[in-house]
Amino acid sequence: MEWTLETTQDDGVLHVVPRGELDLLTAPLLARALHEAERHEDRIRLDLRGLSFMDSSGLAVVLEAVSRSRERPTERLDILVDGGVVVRVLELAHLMDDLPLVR
Amino acid sequence: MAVADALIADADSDRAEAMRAELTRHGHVVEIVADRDTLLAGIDDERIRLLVLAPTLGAEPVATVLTALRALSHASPAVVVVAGTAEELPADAVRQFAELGAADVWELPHAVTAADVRLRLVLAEFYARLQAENVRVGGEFAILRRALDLTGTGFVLTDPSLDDNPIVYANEAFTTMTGYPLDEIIGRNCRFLQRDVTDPQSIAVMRDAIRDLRPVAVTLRNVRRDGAVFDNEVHIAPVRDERGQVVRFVGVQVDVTAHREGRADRLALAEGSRRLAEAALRRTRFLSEASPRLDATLDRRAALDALALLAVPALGTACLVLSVEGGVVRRDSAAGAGAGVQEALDALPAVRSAEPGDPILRAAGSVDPLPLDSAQAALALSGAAIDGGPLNGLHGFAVPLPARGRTVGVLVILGPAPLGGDDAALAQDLAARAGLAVDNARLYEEQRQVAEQLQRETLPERPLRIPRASVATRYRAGGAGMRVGGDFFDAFEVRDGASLLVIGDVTGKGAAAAALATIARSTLRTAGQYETAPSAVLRTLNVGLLRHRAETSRGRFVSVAAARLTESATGLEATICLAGHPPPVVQRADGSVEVVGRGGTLLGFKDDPALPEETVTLGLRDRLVLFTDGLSEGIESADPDATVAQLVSGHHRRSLDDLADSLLDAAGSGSRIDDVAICVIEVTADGERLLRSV
Repeated sequence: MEWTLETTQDDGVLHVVPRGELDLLTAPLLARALHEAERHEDRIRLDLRGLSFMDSSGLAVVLEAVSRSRERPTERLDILVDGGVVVRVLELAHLMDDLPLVR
Repeated sequence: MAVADALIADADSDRAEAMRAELTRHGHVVEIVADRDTLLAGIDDERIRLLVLAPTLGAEPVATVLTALRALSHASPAVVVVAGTAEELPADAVRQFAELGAADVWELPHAVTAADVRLRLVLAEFYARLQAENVRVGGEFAILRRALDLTGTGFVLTDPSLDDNPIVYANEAFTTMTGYPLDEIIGRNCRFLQRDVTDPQSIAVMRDAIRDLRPVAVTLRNVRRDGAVFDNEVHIAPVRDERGQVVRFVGVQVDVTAHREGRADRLALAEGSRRLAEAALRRTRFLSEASPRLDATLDRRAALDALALLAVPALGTACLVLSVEGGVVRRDSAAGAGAGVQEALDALPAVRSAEPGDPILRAAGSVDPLPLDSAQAALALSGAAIDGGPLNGLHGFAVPLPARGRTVGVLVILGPAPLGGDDAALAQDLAARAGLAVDNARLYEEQRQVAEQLQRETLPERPLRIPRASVATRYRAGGAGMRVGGDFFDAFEVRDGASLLVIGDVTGKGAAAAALATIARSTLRTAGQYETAPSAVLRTLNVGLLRHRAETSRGRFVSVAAARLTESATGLEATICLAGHPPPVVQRADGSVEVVGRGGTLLGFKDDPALPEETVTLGLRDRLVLFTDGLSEGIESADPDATVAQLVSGHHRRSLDDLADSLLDAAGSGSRIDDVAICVIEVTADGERLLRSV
């Protein structure tokens, strides 16, 4: 599955949508997109439903973004998941209850 | 007044006027500017196609101007050239200009005039080179067509893949010069300009060169369409594609009739210029071929070999690349033309000591090529005289390989005939390129060594030792090259005398991950001196990681599986604690398999990780298999943990090493090769101790 990364704005929410395999090669691209999105005042929704693979490099980028969001006065990041590979990784990390997940 | 498309910035007004005249003849509209500010204002115009800069502009070195040009955000598309006399253009300055983006450096004689054939040849060679490079990068005329069509010098391109190597492109100046319209030129071989007035010997020289795919310059007496005779100085160079195949010949024609009909010494002058132009073309071609081959390698050894192979036979019959360190000369690479020379070179001592005055030591301490007569050549080769054989009586020179202000080696090029000054200059150009390539390779190697050193520190130096257990470990960093992994494992004694076996994975890759893995491993060891529970040891690491995050504002996350092992009457008690890590697999002596441990939180993210412990009792011959997620991800499966368990169960009654090997193989079978670390232990009878590790 080919890697794509889209950022779209919709009614005050920036949708960051990676698709394909989030791994060592693509994780830095997602990190950059999230840093870029954080420069705006909008809420950010990270939509991980299009991922076919996620490894620890990808998980690290997601966790760093969550940590940065928590350091702000109001948290403004949430993460869209629908089971599958992302949930499996988050379950292994035992972090399902600690992240701003939206199903 | 027409709008200028070329600027000359030169305070030497005679030289500026001469260049203006020649560029005007090439069809440019030229403006001369005398200071930097006028120049910078003038180039704020995309119609400017060509900038010619003198080596100094007032009191300002041209390097400053080149830097300023590069800094302009609206970077002009113009081709920038530095033009000056040989005295104004020392070799290091030329290199600097090239690095700052100058497309060419024109060496013009002092007090050059517009009528000087050398000026015409310098420009002709420049246009030929632009043409050749443009074809090399894949576009026939995408960028420079306009510049070529502007020039007053005749250009043709021929296609050797077509029958009789016909002309496939000719510019307007060529039609003017020959009097033939374009439709009578395209598709024909250049010889249609020849008549019985044309010197057969010159024709033969040109024909042989084309056949041998060599560049050549000859003066031919040609005939125009109207029957008028003219002297045509023809420069021909093969143009190669990225695979080295000759795909075109570029031909440059300069009408030198006027010069020939002038004083007799014009002929000698033209002859000298021709040789210069030929050498320049040869140099351009050679270096344009050499550079990608040298730059393509980051392996010092391969860079050295490429250098030696490039020099033979282009520059000589034997080439050596030597390094010098503390009076010892080491042969890094050698290439000979033909098996006999190669064998003789290979038979020379690979390392020899050098006495003061040794030509190699002298070359290493110098900047310029050092000429070697046959006696010195023998000294350079072997430190002693050479008696007979194919290396006897060779001449040549030794050229230092410069890089970043140091000399990183010496290039020795030898041939049967004394090599000329052009060859020395060419070797020096090559040495400059090669020195940098060799040095880049050295730096890369150093980085790789640092990375490998770090990698070694993520793993224990000695095989793991656990009381009442045999141990087998495997480790493989994913990918190739200098990627190093963030996987680690270790076993050590904790405060109350029990053993703690840990395996873990740091997010990310490369030296930073390896460094953090090293820190994680030593933190766990230290924590084991004060804590006995595996969850407490992991909690200590979590605190350390959070502190690391606070200090660096970059998170790093670590997954760990820890097993605290204590001896019991029947075997070992294993207390398993997982932190975001795949659960280990237990294989009982009877072959049955179970997944053990309860999920805990990845370390480095939150203050209060959940780190539940689970204790399992291991009897005699029971095995405990710990692994990093490279193993489960490397096996393509919907339920990787179950797959690992299945794999383990398939290896009942096989040795511990066989099991470890099979797991490692399985991890490499998927499409995704991640780092893999595997630790397998088997409970042994009391007193029996088998240690294994790879």
